[in-house]
Amino acid sequence: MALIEQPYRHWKGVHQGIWSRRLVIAQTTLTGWLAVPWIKRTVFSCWMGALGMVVLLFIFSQFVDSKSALAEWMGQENPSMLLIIGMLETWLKQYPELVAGVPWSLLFGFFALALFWPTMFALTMCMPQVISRDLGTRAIVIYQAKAVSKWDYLLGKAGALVALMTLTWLGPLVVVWVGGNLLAPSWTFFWHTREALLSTLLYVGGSILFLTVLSLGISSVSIKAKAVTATWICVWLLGWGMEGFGSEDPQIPSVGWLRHLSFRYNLAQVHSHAFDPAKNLHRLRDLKGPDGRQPLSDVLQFFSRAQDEGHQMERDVRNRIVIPRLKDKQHPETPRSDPEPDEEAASQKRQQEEQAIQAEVNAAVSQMRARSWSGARLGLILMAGLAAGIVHFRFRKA
Amino acid sequence: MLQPVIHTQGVTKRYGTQRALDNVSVQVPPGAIGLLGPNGAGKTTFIKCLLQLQPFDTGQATLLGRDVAREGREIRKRVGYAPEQDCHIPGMLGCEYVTYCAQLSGLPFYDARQRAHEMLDFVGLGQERYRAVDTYSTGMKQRVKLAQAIVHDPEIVFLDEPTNGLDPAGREQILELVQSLWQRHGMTVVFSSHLLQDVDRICDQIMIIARGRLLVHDTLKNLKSRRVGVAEVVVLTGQESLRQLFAARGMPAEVLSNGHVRVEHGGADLTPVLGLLHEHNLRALEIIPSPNALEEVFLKAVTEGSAGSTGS
Repeated sequence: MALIEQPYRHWKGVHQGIWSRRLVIAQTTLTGWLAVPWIKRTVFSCWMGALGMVVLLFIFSQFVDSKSALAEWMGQENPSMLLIIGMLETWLKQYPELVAGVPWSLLFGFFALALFWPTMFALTMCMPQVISRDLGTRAIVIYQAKAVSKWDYLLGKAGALVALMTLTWLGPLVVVWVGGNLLAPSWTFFWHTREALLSTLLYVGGSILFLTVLSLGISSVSIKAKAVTATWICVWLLGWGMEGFGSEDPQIPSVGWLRHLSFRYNLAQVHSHAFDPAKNLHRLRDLKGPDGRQPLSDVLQFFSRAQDEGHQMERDVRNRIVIPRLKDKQHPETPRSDPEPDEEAASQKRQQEEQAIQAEVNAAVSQMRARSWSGARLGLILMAGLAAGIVHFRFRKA
Repeated sequence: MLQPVIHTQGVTKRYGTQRALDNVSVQVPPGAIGLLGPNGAGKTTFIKCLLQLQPFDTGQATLLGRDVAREGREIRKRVGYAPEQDCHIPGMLGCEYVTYCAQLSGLPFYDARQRAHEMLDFVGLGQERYRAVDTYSTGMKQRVKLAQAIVHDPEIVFLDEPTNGLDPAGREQILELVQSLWQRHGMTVVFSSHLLQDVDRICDQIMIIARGRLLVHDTLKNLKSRRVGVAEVVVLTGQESLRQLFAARGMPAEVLSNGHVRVEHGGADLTPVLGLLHEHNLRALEIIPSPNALEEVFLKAVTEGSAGSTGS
């Protein structure tokens, strides 16, 4: 029997550069993950969600254009709707940044948070396969014996993680932004809604970078898949538990800093900083109709409240400031010497008091937000540093 | 002398207090190089240090003329390595795995895929290449490891115990393949094994490592010539009378359990043995010069090495 049927031929080609080898690692790793049915389903559901978001933006676009099919149909069904749509159209011409930009920012802030969860699920599914499996099966030896260094290997794996999160998170959002603008009544929407895109890139991009480093670290913790998954879930649950601790309020002695052990809480602070939904909602409240109604802020307040933890913060501070004053009024330490001269003066005084309280609340909330933002940055940097340390330790030993 | 492919100077590697490599200095020209040593002698550590899979503590090493410590990635483009243990990527098909390894070495995708199929043919993996590597038998895994090691056409390939766990037929095939790499295709092969007969068969240079020290580096021919003066004579009948004839001529002899007559003739060649056979008109079926020479050299080197390290 002829033992060697295929003669050996020497290869006389040109070697590819190092970036193409890193890309090969990323591509092959991602392809392996996408072969897992649950990851495939997750990616699919994210894109289905994106389709739903485009539909939502399309409906919004129809509401600010009186010549749109939806407006005409609604006008036939309920003529009063035409008035609202006409008003929105006028506002769009007068304040395009407010009518187009702010609602989009609110909606994209909501979408960005909504897609965080499927992304986390996909990460949980693939976490053991990032590095741990290569260590466990000693496939790492093959990588090290080829023309790639450990840094090339890590860059390739990081690239795969970024690509996966782009598929489940950033990609759908960018496509929604482009799709929503293409379906908008005017090309100027591309310009007026730029803030939504920039905020999305800032929050989602930053989160992807952080989660990439964190995933590399957690996947390096052990060579056993179950241990890696358990560590990941523990980090998540432990953080969630810590979120219930204390407050950022400097007036209240607490262990509020423990909240920053939760990467989800820290990323939520980045989200609030990038999108600032409370501020956006306040801006929309300036748009009042002739009857005093605020149609845009009424419709969009759900999206604002669903994504902003600042609302709770503001409520807490207001309660802390207002409740003692109410008690003072009910049980005054010194009796009032001069009764109010008339109703108008009393109303004016109440208004001034309310303004003073609001100013005090705003100052306290802004101080708390600043503390929270600093804590979140510090927490994220420390966690990323710890994860990088684990990777370094593991590969020093490998 | 040919430009050395491996050149080390005082390479030392420690694991805690234990020296896995102890001041190893060697210049190895191209060829089929057998790396011999008992288990735990430091063979794998030596290979890993040359490939920079493990950094060495002191000393200098060059591989294919490049500094190992500084140009590891460039060197590994031109070097192949088949590790002793399984190290495949779970879930990958055989052909995908070898293609991926070729791409990691810098081959463009289409070249990598073509080379992968050629190498899988070369190592004798047929339709099994379309199966996941984790489902392979031990023999198939050894073949796919060899395929991934040579898929990028390296100038030197390190094979760490490539015949471990193989049945006789599989071992024979792998040895023939490895032998052809140097003899027909000019690829330097470093063949690490503790199986002397495998090394004896395919290598022309021998390095013996024990307790982290390089005890011997020479050509197989030279090593065998050091142990001249022994032969085994194979005859059909009359082994005992032949032994007595040799003994009477002052050549100590014994009849081995396999029926061969082992004689210490003491000459540089077989002339004394042939002369005696001719005188008595005896016909031998076969005369094996220097049988087990490598084994004797190996045992002697390891024993002396152990004695030296104990004494020191």
